[in-house]
Amino acid sequence: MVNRDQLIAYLLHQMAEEERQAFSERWFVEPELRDELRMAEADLLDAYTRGEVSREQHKQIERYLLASSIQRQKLEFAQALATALPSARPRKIHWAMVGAVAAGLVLVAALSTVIARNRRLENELAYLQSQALSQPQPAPPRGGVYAIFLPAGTLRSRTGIRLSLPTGVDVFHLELGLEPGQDGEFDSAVLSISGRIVFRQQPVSLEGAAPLARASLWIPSKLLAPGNYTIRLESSGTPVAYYSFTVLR
Amino acid sequence: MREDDPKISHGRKRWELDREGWEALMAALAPDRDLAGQNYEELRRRLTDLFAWEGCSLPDQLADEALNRLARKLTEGVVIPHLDRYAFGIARFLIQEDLRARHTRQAALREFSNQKPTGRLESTTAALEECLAGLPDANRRLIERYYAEDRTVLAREFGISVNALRNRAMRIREELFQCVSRKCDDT
Repeated sequence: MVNRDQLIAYLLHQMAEEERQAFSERWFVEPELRDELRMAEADLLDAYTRGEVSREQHKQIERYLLASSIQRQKLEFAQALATALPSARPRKIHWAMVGAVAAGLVLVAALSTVIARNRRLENELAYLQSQALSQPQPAPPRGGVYAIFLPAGTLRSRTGIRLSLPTGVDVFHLELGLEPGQDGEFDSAVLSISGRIVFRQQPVSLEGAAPLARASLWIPSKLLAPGNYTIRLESSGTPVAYYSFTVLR
Repeated sequence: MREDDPKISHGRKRWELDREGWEALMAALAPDRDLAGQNYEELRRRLTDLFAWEGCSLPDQLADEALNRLARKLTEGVVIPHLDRYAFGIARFLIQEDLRARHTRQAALREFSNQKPTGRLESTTAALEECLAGLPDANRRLIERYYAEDRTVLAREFGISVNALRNRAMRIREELFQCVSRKCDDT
């Protein structure tokens, strides 16, 4: 019987050379042990991607588990998995969290401006409703509006953007930050959860000018069950940008 | 090993797998052709993992080289009762060779090792989305909750041990990885 610590010790080269060689010879002919090792490797790469490993393990993973393109493909998969299915469990506090906290502070600052914008949008909506305007875009429905700004690069964000929708909100207004040079036209924006499409907006309007250009989405909040969402912006049917966020319970 | 051996590519002195070698290898892997093919893929994956976990920079090429050398031994008439153990022996030898070569290209390797994956995350994520959508609902929900929730609580809810929960989730994860790899290879 092999415990998990031994598997990790093997993968991270923490075993003495003789022990390591004997262990490799063993897993090479034992299918169950091979499966255990592959699972331990997947666990390590998931934890690495989600910032849940110790500083020492972080170094060892980079040194021993990411030396080849095959291994880096595994890492890319773990990163994509962390984007589509981010962790919502509390994490251990360690050095990597320092960066996360800094990112969080930036987010709080961005949210403050968004809250102020919320009020303005509510007023605008009330005006539009009173004018009974028919919009070519999906029209912001009646009721409360909750707006949030997602900066470009949220897909790669390790901290993730999490939000709780307040009660009484009917419409979720998302402003998607664009990378420089991305302020062209977009055919559609596709919102999905775990690969399942829940909302599509066609076309997508742009607000502001470079470098502050933003794509604007209006999503009925009843579609937003708790979970991890990905937004794909498309231009001529080709994905050009991705964003992610989590709706908390 | 003779210099005029037609199986040796002169200059590189590297034996290339030919039809005879391939047939010998298939026959040694299993009497049934389909099963031999599966065993070949499985052995190749094992070798690739071994080289990757030893820190070799080109695990798949080394795996092919190990299989070539194995086939060569078979065509030479060497009787090999335990094919996988013999393959492991060849692999150990190749790891030593790679280690020696690694010392001579240490600086380049270090640079290579420090490369971060770039540019492909978005296509990998798009492929993953499609693969997630293709999962049966129960599996998709399970893997989603596995990452999002407390695993002890989740295992209790399913009435299984945390280890059994992990095994299930990891099988789904592996299925997703294979699906994403296929999609990325196709593009």
